[in-house]
Amino acid sequence: MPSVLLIDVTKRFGRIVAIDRVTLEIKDGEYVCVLGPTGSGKTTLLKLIAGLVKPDEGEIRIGGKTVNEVPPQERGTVYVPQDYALFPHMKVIDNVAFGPICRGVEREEAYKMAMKTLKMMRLDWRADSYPHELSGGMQQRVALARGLASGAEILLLDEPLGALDARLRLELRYKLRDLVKDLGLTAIHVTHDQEEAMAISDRIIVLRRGRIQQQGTPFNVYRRPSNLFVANFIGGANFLEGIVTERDSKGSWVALREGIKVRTEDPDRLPGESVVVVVREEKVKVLKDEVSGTNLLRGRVVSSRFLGPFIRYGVRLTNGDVVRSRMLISKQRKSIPVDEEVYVYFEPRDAIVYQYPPLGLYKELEVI
Amino acid sequence: MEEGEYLCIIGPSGCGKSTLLKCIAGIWKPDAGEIYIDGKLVNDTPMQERGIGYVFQEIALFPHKNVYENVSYGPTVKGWEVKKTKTIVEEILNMLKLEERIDAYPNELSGGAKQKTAIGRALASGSKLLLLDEPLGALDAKVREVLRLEIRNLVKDLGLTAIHVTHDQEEAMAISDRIIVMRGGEIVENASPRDLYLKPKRIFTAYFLGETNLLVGEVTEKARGKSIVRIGSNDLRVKGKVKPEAKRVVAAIRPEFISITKKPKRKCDNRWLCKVKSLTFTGNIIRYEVQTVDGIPILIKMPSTDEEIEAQIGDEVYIEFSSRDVNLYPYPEEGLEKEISLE
Repeated sequence: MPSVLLIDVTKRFGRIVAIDRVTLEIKDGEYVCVLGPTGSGKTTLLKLIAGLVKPDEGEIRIGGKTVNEVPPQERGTVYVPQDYALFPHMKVIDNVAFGPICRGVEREEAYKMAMKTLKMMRLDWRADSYPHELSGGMQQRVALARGLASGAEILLLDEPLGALDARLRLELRYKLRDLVKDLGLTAIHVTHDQEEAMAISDRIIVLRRGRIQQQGTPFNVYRRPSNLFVANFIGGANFLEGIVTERDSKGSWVALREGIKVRTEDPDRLPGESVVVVVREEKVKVLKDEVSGTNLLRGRVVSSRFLGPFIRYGVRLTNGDVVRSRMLISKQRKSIPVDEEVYVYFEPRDAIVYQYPPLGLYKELEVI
Repeated sequence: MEEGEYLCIIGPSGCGKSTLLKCIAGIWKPDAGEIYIDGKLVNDTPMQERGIGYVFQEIALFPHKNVYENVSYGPTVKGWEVKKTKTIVEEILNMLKLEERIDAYPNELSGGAKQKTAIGRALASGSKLLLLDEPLGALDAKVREVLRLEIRNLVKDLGLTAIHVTHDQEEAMAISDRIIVMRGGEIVENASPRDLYLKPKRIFTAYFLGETNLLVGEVTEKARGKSIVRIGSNDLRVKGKVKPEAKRVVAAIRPEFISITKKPKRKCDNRWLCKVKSLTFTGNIIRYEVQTVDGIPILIKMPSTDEEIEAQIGDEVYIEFSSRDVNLYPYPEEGLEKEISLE
């Protein structure tokens, strides 16, 4: 069974380096999400594996065999593009059954399989429609069904849920993963939706400007982001600038602007170093009353929004820094209104410390 | 809708949300009914005289004009005084934090900056009513999250009224004062984000907005503000009564109001034995899918903490939830499937 291996692959378009010395292994049966902002090289990465673009440097192997010179149709991959690319003159069901029939699957069997896949995409009722009679979201589901039914063992999915309504997207993402797993396929799924990536992938690859920033399980990428960009891109976070003032065996103290001190469990940074303290929004509690604890900072609520499962607050600290918090609605039934004096609190272990980036924090976090 | 209000319209594809916006804008003419803007009947008023700014999902800027020229287009065409135009355009660009990009051309801007320019252009003509059709739809999730708040703040700071169509429910909750839920060309519900999410009047709203568990059961007991509903072999205790007096009901429980434990400690209205079917880490939340002893699936969302994940697949656990977090609905006449259908 096939695994995918990229060794030092580079792809340029004119002066732009779309993929920059990427080395990557995807195991047989793995569900991998490639996550990154627009223009980070996600689609190019898929097309390289599909054989739709050729690498300028490096080697691509599928199932242990170098495929640099192998045409797309012989790679055992299927690329499901963002713009669906359905056959306009064919009915939905014929679109889906096309691949298996080309491979020599018996007609009856191919149509049975096609119908089954359409059913999973909740589109069996439109089997006899033509693509132009369907909404964008429906066409996307047909494209997905066609990919799944194609018989290829490696699915290359480019924003496969991008055209769908939020509600349907939520439902289909789990179905898609289950389907891939049930069929024993390998999937490489490109998305810019970090929640989607976390919810369904075995492994996440974070791409920025053609380079891999981090790869790991959703848990690891979320808990231990390798740099400030990843911390910002995956999950909301606060970025507090400061200077390390003390270090001991259990961690360090960091002075934020105007001398507000916060405690961290970071063992690495030395006194005098400029740092950024990262605290996830959901690790910050907003409290009306003082509690005992180390990182208890005074502030005033500047924004308070109900977001369904949680309330999102912005709290301006006495030094002017704004700290954002996501409080679960099940833990705090009533929102604290704007202008209220409050305390924000987070545990030292939830403060991740990074070296202050040489080009400045803003540049480092930029979503391009 | 009231002056100064920020309204969001949500609903599945094809529900008519964009059409509604286009009727207000004057792009479409209604076949029946009347549209009033500022007390004035506008059915026959052309779009450009309705005093509205319209922003599309597909960002349509003039590619050969820079940010300043794009934003000042309306006032210039209308023949406003150069000095007045400059003051207004600069103020808008400052508010949009685009003042440093005034010389940039659209192809030099990020998606977010482009869409902000389009909003600036819609505002520069002095429109007090802003119609936004999926204005963030073409942007990355991360950019969308930042920009949505900027748009709300801008609308509020300038005292504008906004109607914003989106398919992103979180976006709708984050920015609106009020949400309208549509389906099949009709308004299903109309309420504040909080009421809509916590106390939806319709099962469809509960289903469409966020995720929810919908359990079908029979009311077996009613006493002193509490009902008991039989769900399979479990009893569900619910605060309040069902209206009208239905026997067959649907209970809606949000997954974040249910918790999982192996060793029940505290007192709890509802505690059911279940088996863990799957668990998924999604960052700040862990999603559990469990099954009751009758095989009924239940979704649970718990905050992910640094401690070891409490339950594993196959484990027997107790799920706990409070009677006040359950909303009860009479079983829909046309069936549950039909009630939550997206079409």
